[in-house]
Amino acid sequence: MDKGGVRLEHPIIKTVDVVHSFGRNLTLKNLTLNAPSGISGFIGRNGSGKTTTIGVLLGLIKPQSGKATFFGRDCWKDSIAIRKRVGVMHEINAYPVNFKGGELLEFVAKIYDIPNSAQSIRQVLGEVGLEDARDKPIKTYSAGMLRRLGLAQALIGEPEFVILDEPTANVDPLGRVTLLDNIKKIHDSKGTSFLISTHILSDLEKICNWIIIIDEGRIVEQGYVKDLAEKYSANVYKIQVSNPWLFAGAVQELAMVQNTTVNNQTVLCKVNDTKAFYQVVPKLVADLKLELIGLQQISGTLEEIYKHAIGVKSDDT
Amino acid sequence: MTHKSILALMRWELKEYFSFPVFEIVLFIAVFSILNTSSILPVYAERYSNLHWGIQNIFFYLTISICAVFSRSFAGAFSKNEIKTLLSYPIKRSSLFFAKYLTMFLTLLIIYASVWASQLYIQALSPLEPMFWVSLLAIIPEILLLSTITVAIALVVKNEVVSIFASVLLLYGLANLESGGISLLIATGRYKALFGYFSILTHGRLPIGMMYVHPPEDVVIAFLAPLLISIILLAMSIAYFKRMQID
Ligand SMILES: Nc1ncnc2c1ncn2[C@@H]1O[C@H](COP(=O)(O)OP(=O)(O)O)[C@@H](O)[C@H]1O
Ligand SMILES: [Mg+2]
Repeated sequence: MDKGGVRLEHPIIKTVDVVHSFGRNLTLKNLTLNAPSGISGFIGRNGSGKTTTIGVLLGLIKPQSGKATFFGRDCWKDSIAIRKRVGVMHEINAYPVNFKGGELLEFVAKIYDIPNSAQSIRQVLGEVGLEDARDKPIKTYSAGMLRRLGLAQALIGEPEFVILDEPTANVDPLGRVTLLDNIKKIHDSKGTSFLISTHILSDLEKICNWIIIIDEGRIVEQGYVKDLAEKYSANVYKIQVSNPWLFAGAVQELAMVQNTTVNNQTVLCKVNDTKAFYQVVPKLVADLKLELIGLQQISGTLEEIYKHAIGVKSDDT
Repeated sequence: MTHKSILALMRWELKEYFSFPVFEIVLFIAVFSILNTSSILPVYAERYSNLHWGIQNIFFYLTISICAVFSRSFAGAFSKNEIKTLLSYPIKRSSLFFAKYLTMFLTLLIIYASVWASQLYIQALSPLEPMFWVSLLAIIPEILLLSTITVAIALVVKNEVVSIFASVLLLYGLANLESGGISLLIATGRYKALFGYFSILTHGRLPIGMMYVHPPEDVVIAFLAPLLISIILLAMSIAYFKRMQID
C-alpha cells in the first residue's frame, strides 16, 4: 500500500507506527502520520481513531508503542512544551457554564501568560465574530456560538498550530461556512497552521492543502491535495468486467496504460490517452469474450480520493 | 507554571463546583449538623464538654459532603471532558491536581470551621476556650483523610456516581466497624483520644460524660495516623494521575 503519497521534508507532526488500544479494542494500528504547516484535513469515519490520535499528539494518551513527535519533540514527555505552542478545540468542550465568554478567554490568556490579554481577547473575539457575546454566560450560547468560542479559546494563546476536532459537528450549514471562512482567514493573515478532523468531506475541500485519511486506526492515504487529486485524477478509469484478473492482464499490455490495479472486482487503469482508452476497452472486452459491466472515469475530487483510499484498504486486509 | 495559573485554576474550580446551588447545599448540611447539639450545661466551667458531643454529628455530615464534593471534582471531571479540556492547555497534571484538591479542601474547611465557630455562641463559650481550638484543629486531619480516600477512589473509577457510592459505603462502613466509639480506627474514636488528653491538660479533668482515658501514645497515633495515611494516599494519587490515559 502506498501510504506516503508525497515525501514530506519538514513535517510539524510526525508519528511512526503508533499503536494504542482501549482494553481489548485496538484503536490505533501502526499509525504513521505526517502533517506539514498549512491547513491539514484529517478525515475518517466515526470511530476510525481521529480523536484518539489527537489525544496522543497532545500527550493525553501514551501510545503503547511507536513514536509521536510534534515540532520534533516527544508528544508524551514534552507535552507541556508542545501545548504552549498549540491551541485545541475538542469535540466535546467542558467550559464552566457559569463563566462568561470573556471570563473563559481571560482564564486561557492567564494560562498561556499572554501579556496584554484585554487587547488579545478583543481581537480574537472579533476574528470569530463573538464581540457581542463577551459578557453573556456560556450556558446561554447556541451550538454555533460555542464552536466559535471554542475557536477563540484555541487562538488566544497565539499558537503556531491549532487542532480542531470535528469543529463543524452540530453546526448549521451557514455557521459551518462562516467557521471555515474564519479558519482560512486566520491562516492567511497570521500563518497559523491547522489540523482539522472531520467526517464531513465537503468541509475540507476548499481550505485544506494537505489531507490525511484514516480508516480503522490506519492511515490509508496522506499527501498534498493537488498531488492526490492528480494521483486519482481524470486519467484513471474504473472498469468492471466479468473476469477482472483476465482483463487486467490483457489491458496492461497496451502502450497507453501506465499501471493497473485490481480492487474489489474492479480494475483501475491509469492511462496516457483517455479518449483512445475509452474506445479500446469495449473492443478488448469483446476480444476476451468477457462482459463489460461498467466503464467510468475517476475524478480527482476529495470524495473520490477518499472512497478510493478506503477501498484500497478494505482490499488489503 | 506560576502561582497565577494555580489561582486561575482554583477560580475555575470554584465557579464550576461551588456555584448555586451546590455551595448553598453544602453550607446547609454543615449548619444542619450542629442543630441538634445537647442543651447547655448549667455550670460554665463544664460547658466546653458539649463541644465533644457536638462534633460527632459533624463527622457524620462531613463525610457525605466530602464524598460528594471530591467525587464530583475528581471523577465527574472525566465524564464531562473537563480534565481533557484543561490538560490541553499548558497545565501540568500535578498543578491541576493540586488546584482541584486545594480548592475543595479549603472550601470545605472554611465552611465547617465557620459553622463550628458558631458553637462558641450556641454554647455560650469564651472564644479563648482552648478546647474549641483543639476541636477545630482536630477536624483538619479528618478532612484530609476522608478526602484523600475519596480522591483515590474517584481517580480509579472515573465516574461521579460510582465514586460517591463507593466512598460513602467505605467510609461509613469503616465508621461502623467499631461501635464502642473509642477505637482509633474511626474518626470519633480518634477525636475522643485528642479531646480527652487536651481536656486533662487544659481543664485538669475529662469532659462530662467521658470515661475512658487513652494512653499518650494513642493520642499521638490519633493525630499522626490520619496525616500519614493522607500523605501517602495523596502521593499515590498524584503519581497515578500523572500517568493516566485521558481519553
Ligand atoms: N475511552 C474509550 N474506551 C474504549 N474505547 C474507546 C474509547 N475512546 C474511543 N474508543 C474506541 O476507539 C475507536 C476510535 O475512537 P475515536 O478515536 O473517538 O474515533 P473518531 O474520533 O475517529 O470518531 C472507536 O472504536 C471507539 O469505540
Ligand atoms: Mg472523534
